[in-house]
Amino acid sequence: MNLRSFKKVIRNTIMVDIEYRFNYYMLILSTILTLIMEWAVFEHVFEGRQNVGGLPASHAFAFVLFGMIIRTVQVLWGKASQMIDEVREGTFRRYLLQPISHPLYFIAQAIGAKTNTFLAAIVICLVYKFAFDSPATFLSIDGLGPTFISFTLSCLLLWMIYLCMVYASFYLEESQFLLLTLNISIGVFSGTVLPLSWLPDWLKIFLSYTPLPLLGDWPLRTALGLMPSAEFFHSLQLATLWTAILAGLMAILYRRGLKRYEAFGG
Amino acid sequence: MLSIEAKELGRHFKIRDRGESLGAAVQSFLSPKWKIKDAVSDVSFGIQQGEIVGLVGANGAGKTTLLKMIAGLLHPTHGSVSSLGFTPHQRDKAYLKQIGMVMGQKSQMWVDIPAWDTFMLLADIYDLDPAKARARVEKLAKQFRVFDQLGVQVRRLSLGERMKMEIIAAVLHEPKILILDEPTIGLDVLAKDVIRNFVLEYNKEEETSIILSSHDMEDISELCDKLIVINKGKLVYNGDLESFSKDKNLKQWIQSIISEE
Repeated sequence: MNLRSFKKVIRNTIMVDIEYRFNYYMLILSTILTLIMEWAVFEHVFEGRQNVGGLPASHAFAFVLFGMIIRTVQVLWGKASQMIDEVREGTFRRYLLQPISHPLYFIAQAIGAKTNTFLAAIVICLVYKFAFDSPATFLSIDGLGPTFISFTLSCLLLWMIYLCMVYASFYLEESQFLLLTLNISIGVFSGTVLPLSWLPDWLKIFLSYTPLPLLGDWPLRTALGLMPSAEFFHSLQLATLWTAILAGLMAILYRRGLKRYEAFGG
Repeated sequence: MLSIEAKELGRHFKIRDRGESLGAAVQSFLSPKWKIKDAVSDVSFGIQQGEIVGLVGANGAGKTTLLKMIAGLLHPTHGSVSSLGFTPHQRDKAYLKQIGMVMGQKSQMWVDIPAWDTFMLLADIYDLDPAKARARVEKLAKQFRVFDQLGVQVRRLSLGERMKMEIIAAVLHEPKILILDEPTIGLDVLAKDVIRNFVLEYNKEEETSIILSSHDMEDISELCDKLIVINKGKLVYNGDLESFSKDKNLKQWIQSIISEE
């Protein structure tokens, strides 16, 4: 798949997104409403206390905001679910007739689908940074580069996990349950809803052997300035390793899956 | 020279053997039983470059399964097929750039945006020169009389208009093999005429091998040089259309097979 077609898939996906304005307005409205509700919950949790579980009140809301933005930009449950249905119904064949790399095609669609959300997220972050009482370390100039790197890699890792689940449907026919399990896991164990530091030690050790902390905790604490450099670079190495593992798994599932792909019927 | 050659080509599917009721569904869940269906069995034929070949058979005869193996969408379970010197199911990008396929109801268009945008994406995917691709789209759209619909969302087009856009998408990159799986299904007489005229002209200009699967015997009689008849996965007839038309007994027999459900 060449760069021109990669960019055009992104462009066409953005066009599909802005074709349905009501969807887009609802996304922004629901993001703002969720933000308000989470702020109300944390206000109550922090009432009369300077910090909870090592997290000061001033960081708590930045945590909530950026955690929600990461989740909103990363999560592609709808697209992955649609693609699993395409495998089951046989319409997946349209990707097989063209000289493209399906993983790259999906990632281009993911970037396109999330571009408008990402732009809205940048606006919200900037408004929060300069108009409200945000911590000085939130999206600081020094931290912008590492935040961008960790955020980009976390999105890529999650999209690759989604693709593995799509290709699992070549074998399982129906793999929506995998998506559901993943969504629940991300919510609880990636660190975007609750800080991972609040979890018991045994669970933290278990999660360190999975890519889940890299999906949320890594970019989140980097954006808040709570991640030391040594830990950032260690996480970067882990993210690179997991990218290689997932790329290999994807390739195996895809190539072998295509041999089994029946697309039975007309 | 043969552009497509199949030798004892076959494909079977493993499907679940279950009854119709909720009880049968639960039983199948707890203790699944499987059966093997031979969709295509020991089919051998050859297609010369530039031929238009009709593929006919009753519903469920194995026509689409055979076409999918030629397109590389399915791996055969036995036998072999070679197309333009490639093994289709290896899905070499050089091979995929030389084939085009239209599959009736299954779309390769992006339905939420105008057809023009899908065509420009396909032009990039197939590495076409942008200016030449634009000119080709305009020429084909005028030929199909859908030029004014290029800027309309695909999902808002009529069935006939959508099918024409699908054909444009399939031939944009000037494939050497074009597979048309029931392209006139559900279309009115005028739309069918436009598509038939296009297929004849396109074959004449580009010398593309065309495989046309259709239940409409008018499609076959007006377009095809050669006929392949499949019944219950097996090859029943493989020869030229003229001989088929002259042999009344053969014609009756095959028509009875096709109409058998």
